[in-house]
Amino acid sequence: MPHQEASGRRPEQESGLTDEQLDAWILARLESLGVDLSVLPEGDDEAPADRRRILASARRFLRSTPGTIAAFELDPLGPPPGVYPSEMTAWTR
Amino acid sequence: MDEVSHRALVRRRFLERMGRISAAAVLAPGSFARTGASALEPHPVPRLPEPGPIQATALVDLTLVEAAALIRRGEISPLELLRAYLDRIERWDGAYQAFNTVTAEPALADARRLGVAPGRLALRGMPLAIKDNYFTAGVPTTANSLIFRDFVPAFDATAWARLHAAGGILLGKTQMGPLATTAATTPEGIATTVNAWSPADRRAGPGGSSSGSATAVAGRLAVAATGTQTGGSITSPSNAQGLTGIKPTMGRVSLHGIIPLTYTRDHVGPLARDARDAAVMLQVMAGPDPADPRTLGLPSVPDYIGAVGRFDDPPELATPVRVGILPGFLDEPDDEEREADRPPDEPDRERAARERDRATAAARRALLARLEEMGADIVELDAPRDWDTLTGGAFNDVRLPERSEIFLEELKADVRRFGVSLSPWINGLLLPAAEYVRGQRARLILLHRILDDLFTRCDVVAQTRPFPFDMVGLPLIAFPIGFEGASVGVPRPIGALLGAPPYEEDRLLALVAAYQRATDWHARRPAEPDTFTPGGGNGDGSFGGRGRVDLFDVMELGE
Repeated sequence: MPHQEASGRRPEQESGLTDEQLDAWILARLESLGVDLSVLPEGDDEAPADRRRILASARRFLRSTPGTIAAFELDPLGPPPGVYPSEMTAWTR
Repeated sequence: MDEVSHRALVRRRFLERMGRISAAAVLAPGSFARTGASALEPHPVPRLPEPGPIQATALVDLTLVEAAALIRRGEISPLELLRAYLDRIERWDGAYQAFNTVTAEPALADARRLGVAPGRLALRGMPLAIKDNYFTAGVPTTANSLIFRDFVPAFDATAWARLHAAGGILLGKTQMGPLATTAATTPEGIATTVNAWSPADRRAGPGGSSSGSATAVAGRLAVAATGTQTGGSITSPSNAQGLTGIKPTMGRVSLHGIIPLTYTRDHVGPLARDARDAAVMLQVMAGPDPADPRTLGLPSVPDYIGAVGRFDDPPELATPVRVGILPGFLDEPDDEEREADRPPDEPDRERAARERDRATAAARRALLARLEEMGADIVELDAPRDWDTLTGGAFNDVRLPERSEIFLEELKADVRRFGVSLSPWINGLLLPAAEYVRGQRARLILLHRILDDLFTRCDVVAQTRPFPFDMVGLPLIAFPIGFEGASVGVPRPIGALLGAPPYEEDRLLALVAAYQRATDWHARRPAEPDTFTPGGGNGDGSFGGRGRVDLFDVMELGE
């Protein structure tokens, strides 16, 4: 498979969303799927999981991961998704 | 057959196959009962290598190759070997906590059967520890998760079925991070398994998530073990405990009957005492499986056992090997910077990490020097373009939506059943599809850059961490290259990682087997647990503090 080189990073956009805005988005998304965090304790460091820490982790994830991936520009005619990249070499190399 | 009929037949077979795969992917534990064992072709019986002169004084000190040879020659029986391991488990597993289930009675029945079974079996009577996310027919398979608390599969995972058919005996199921995340804990996050080299000090973790498998082999509670790897879970515990572990190329070993964590990054492989044992295990486990399309249409399985050579071969390499090193491989810790960053409440942990980093850099230098003596060429590589971004945390997170989709019904039913591991499952639900697809496209770019920029200049690459090779499905081998005693006051193994192009596990095994003929790091064994805390540990059979993994640790350190 020809190697498409037209890809690279551009500066990431800093999200200006507040904690409250992100929490609202997270909870709306989960509710739309039928996933209920209200069964967890609100804040209990002794519990295996609580809403406060789950939401904090989710906010941190949203502030870093999607933006970093979206900032990596790819050639629209570049490689297709490589769900099993190493296996594709059995067909292409 | 005319063309139309042929097409119809091909289409029907395709739909039947995909139907089986879809059924296997349904996760509600009750649904697992609807799936079945793979219809495997009989596996060729590999001829095992001959051991060298045997130095071991106890049966549990024998390598797999040695133990198999003694059974083959009739010098010991499968029952004698099994009893030696069961006695040791009885005595020490309270300290190690390597197993969550020990299957003594079925194992004894198997050993008696194998003692009189006709024919040649590669693994006749080899007592094996199997990670608890492998389906084992009639034996609880919990993945240390509340979701699978009562799950007893009706069939064996293909990888275990092959080991069993080759004469392997199931000693038990091993402790692991819940659903294969982080080091071994209960679902609530209470640490279970200790590092066999430092059972009294939890600063030396066992590595995860195949923690129990590693501790079982290092602690001589099993002759070899199996693990799974999505993000370091075979190679990290192997390195932490002085073992030789292989994460093969994606598709080399079937994932059928393994509780999934992702579709695209889960791998199955062995944890063993040395490269020769690892080669035997992988030879038995590898091969196409009609129940796992990821294993089909690939290059044929190489002769791994042949690749490791004879015990009396010289360590000098028969063919030249170029060993690439990436920037940072030999970096020393920056003491001043680390001092400035040190949290005031964790000075001892920081000091221990710094001592270990320093010893690791020295061991890596010695490794390269030894490889050069053996005839290898060391090649300094430049990191491919965008390396830090493409191998960083964000692109590593692309795996998360896969686990969330697999377990979506469980998430909807009750998130509390995910215990301490819940956070990555929730985060996986939050990654938009466009970023997921872009992440999958980036994986192919990353693979191309590894192949074009690195493997055109070298044959194997020394790694500092399991990423990115397990992100793109390339093979990795972990093996011991030294010890350090400064970090926690007792000797701890230092490991190295080498990666290779797709389907070249034989090249990795050959190189490490040659290195192990020139060194003895792999032959060292940890002291007994009571050496560390004379008097019996915590009084409940356990040793060391039962530490706790926090929810944030699972995100930072998990698979």
